[in-house]
Amino acid sequence: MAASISPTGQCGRGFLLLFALSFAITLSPSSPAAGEPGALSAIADGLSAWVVAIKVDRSKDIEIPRSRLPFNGRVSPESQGYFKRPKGSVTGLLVDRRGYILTSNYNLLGTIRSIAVRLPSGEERKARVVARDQLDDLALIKVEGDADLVEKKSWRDPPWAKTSPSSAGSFVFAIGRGSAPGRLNLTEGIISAVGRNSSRAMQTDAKLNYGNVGGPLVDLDGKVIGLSGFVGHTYNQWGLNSGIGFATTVETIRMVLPRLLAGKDFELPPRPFLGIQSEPDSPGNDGAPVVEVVPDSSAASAGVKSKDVIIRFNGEDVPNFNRLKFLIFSCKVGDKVEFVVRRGEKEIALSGVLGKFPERR
Amino acid sequence: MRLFVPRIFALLLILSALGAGRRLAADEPASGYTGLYDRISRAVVGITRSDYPRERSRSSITHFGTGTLLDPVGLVLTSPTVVPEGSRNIDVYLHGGRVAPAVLIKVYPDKEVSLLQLKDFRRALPPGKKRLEYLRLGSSAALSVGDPLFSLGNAFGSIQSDDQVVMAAGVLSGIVELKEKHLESVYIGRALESTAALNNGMDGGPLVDARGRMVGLLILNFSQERWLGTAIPIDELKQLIEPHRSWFDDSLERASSLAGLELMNSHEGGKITVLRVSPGGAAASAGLRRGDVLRKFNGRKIESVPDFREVFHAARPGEQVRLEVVRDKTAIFINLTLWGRF
Amino acid sequence: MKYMTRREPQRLQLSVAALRVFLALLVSLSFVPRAPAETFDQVSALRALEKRVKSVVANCKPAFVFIKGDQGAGYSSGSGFCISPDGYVLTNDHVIAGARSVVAYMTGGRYFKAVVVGKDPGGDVALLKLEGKGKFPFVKLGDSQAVRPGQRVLALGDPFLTGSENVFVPGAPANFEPAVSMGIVSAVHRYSETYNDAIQVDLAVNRGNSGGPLITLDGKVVGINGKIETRFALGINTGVGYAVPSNQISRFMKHLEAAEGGAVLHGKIEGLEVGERADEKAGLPVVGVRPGSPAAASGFRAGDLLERLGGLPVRTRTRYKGILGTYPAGDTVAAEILRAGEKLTLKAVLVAGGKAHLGLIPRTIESDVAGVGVGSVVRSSPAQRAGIKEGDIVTMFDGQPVTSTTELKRVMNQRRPGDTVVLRLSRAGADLELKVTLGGK
Repeated sequence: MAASISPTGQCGRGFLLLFALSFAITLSPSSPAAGEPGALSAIADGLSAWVVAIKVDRSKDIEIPRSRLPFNGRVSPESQGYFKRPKGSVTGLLVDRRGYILTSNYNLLGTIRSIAVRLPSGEERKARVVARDQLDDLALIKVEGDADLVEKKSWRDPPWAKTSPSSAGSFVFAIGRGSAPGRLNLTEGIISAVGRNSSRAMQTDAKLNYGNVGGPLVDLDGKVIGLSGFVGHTYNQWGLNSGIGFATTVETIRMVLPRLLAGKDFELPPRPFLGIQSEPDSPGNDGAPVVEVVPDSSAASAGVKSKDVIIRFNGEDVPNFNRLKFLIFSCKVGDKVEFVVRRGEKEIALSGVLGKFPERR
Repeated sequence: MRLFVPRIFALLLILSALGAGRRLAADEPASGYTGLYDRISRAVVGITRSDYPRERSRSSITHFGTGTLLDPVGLVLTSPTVVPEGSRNIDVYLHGGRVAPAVLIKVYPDKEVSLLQLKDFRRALPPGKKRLEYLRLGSSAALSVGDPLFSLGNAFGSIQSDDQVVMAAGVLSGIVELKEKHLESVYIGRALESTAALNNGMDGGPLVDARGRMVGLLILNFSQERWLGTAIPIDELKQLIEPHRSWFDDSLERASSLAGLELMNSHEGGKITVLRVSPGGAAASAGLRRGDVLRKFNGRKIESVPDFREVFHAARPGEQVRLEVVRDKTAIFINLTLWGRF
Repeated sequence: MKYMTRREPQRLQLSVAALRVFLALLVSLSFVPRAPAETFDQVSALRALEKRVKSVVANCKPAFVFIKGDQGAGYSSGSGFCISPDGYVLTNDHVIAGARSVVAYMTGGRYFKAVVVGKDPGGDVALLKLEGKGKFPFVKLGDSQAVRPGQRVLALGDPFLTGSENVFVPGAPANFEPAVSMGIVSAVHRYSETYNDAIQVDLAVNRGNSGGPLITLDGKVVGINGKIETRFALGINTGVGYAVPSNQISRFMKHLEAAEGGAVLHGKIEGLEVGERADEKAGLPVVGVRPGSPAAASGFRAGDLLERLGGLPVRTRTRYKGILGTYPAGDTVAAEILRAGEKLTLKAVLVAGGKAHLGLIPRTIESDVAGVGVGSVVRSSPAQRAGIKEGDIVTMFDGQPVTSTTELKRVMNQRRPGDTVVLRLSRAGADLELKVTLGGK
């Protein structure tokens, strides 16, 4: 090759730059050597200021229905012990400078004698239950003592994420504060599914124990995307790390927290109602056929007629009535909804406001 | 001069491009830990014992578990839940379906350690290999919560049934203080808690870090409060293992002297045997031969490999040492001039 | 500028050329297959992996199927996945075994009726077909032999019905999203009854995951998750799950497609007796070959050393059974043997093992016709497919009169699975002849 590239000409400078860049990439350090604090440890430490250990003393615990145990509870006597609530502390998340802590409602079921919280500083304080949200398995407790837990300068809100993951596969970590003072524990997993509990919760395969339930579920950015719960609440066997775990989404927490902070239990919201009767599963996936329109309902006001087929709801495809029910359930009473029906050959866009599910007589 | 510089420059440019490309390529997400498994799974063994000495068939196996090879000549670390004090008829299953008998050297019940030695490691060698693969010990103190960890072993008998070492992946979940005995495990003290799956038959096996070093000894001590697997930190066990080390290769030692010598404890009356002398090395030049039994080093009796290690490290390069060895039942004296390392 | 001479344009050309080469090198290196590098806990590496996982999940989810079998008193539930645009679905046999009818929901809740096309109870696999128009989203099968311990895998399923039911508020609608779990391959070629060559995985699979896909990070399905082994027999996952490997399924596929709802049989080398491994030799000794048997016809001789079967090394009898367990009756398998120092490859013919099976339960029927009364016919059995009905009386079996169940048993024992026989029946006073292809048990 004719040697005529000058290191000091314009092209030469460009080459030097490229050379330097690639040299730098070549020499850049790869993964941290074992022994250096890993990145996940930093994620756990990043939550340290908000994760607390909660010790609940009970006089009587709730009974777990047999149907929620593996084999309906028909296991050996030695194994029966695995379906009772274990001793030891559980986890909670400080959400407010005044000492309010969010945790799993299941952690606080039974007849409670006293609650003791070990704060990140190591200090132990007594606490009391403020309010509960049974639907989302959340409960708010407050430590007793000074009105402000920390000086105004040093309190920061926990690193809430803007939204919870919108699809399965995201990597998540469940952080807990175990029995040993000062130590955090971490388990890893992915988001198994979103949209659970009528879109109020997510499912994860990160191992949730009795010890870390009630703690934050965080993403790779170290942001809190949910609070773990439902262990023992729905299926007791999930408490044994079968790989089924749930967490209430950050959007749901944001929605219920103000009410809980005001000392009010979160009531099961009234069930939304559109006002049509339809056939259950029908193959063909052509939509939800309207058999009957309930008089004075939202559907009636919107102009839905019998024999209409609802094919879209709030922008989503409606393959059958099952799906339509799920979509309605994910809304609230009073929500304005838009839907499309097929009437004969035509497609008609309609809209209405969801009413309340009528009481059963 | 001007002609050469640009050529060199172009060469450097191409090399750095290759390096950068390789570097960028190496940072892509891996498909997993297949490389790690290939490197270390052969160092994990299945162990069975039969309480019925006369029958040595599959159906007479009364207990099975896992062990880890700690050196290339057959030192195996396991637990008393697998091989308790007084065990005989211990069979070690190695990769490729090879089964080799082992003897129990020592049990430390409080730390759940049992150490075995293969009776004849040569019978356990895969074809074409002269030494066994083994795991190096890592540092449990250096671990952080969230570090990747791997459990390996004989889950539900996978090694003796299917010649498969099972590996599960997880992270260090936390450090726990075990305060009472659970199931068969009696260990009380600090333990590593990890999310790597742990099942029956994996007790006695290794918890390994991402670099393939053993950082914990797996124990099955599940309780209601603790459903994650635990392991005894390796740092707590190192000083128990060291006195029973039965292999010495001076090329791996950080001694100032060099002799080109490999020794092992054949565990028959405490004999320290020369396994190999490097051709052209100091030991070879001095006339030491494979098979020689080492008795004394400068008059000092050598009864274990740690004994030899101690005197070897104390010796200085250039020093001439007097070895008493037994060859063909005769005592011979050998003068060995030690070389130095740079 | 100082060096601007007539040679400058040449320099520029060379510079540009060299620049192109450099960039081409960098770009092409990104296509170089990478030596597997361990993923350490480096956030950037995890992020890249996360992106890949989400992409695989998004691509495979649409092909996932929630399966419900009507068992009369209740439903059996499980998972499945679509493997072709015309709606063929794979699942475990135990998910649909005994079901009167099967329905399926795809991710998002689209509902379809399903037909059982073929079953492989011996391997716990079933092939269904969804009834519906249009193209179905589907996933492809990968190469299960290429799967290695340590490899990352994903599973899609419906553990504890968390996707097909709303477990939070009874009666509230479900969102029909399958649950994804992630883990690694723990071991391969694991042997047990029906799971003769299983892939062992440590990811979370529980009741409800059965029939679902085991997926590698290239988006291919390498197995069907179907079984777990648990600590303390508590029945919930403790990190040991087993999957039927895709290569086994592929071998059975054409048989399943042609089974018309019936069962497909596994193959064996009839007449071959192998001993346990002799210590030093890598292979199994052939201890005996029955004269006139398919093994003899395939060329086996006593004294042969069987080294490889189907291209895979055979070191133990367990592994021999394991490899064979992945082949259907009617196929052939390459057997590499050592005979008197010479290496030979035989083509071993596989026939159905086990006893011939008809599928009818006898009952005494008052009649002046001598024969075996049919009390009931087993669903999807050879008898049912042939058209035998409750109340029929079997009078002849391949030309031989049968007057008692003992006699029927005797003639059945002389037959092998897969044999076609002609049965003469008496039905409501009239005689009829039916052809039956015997199944296996």
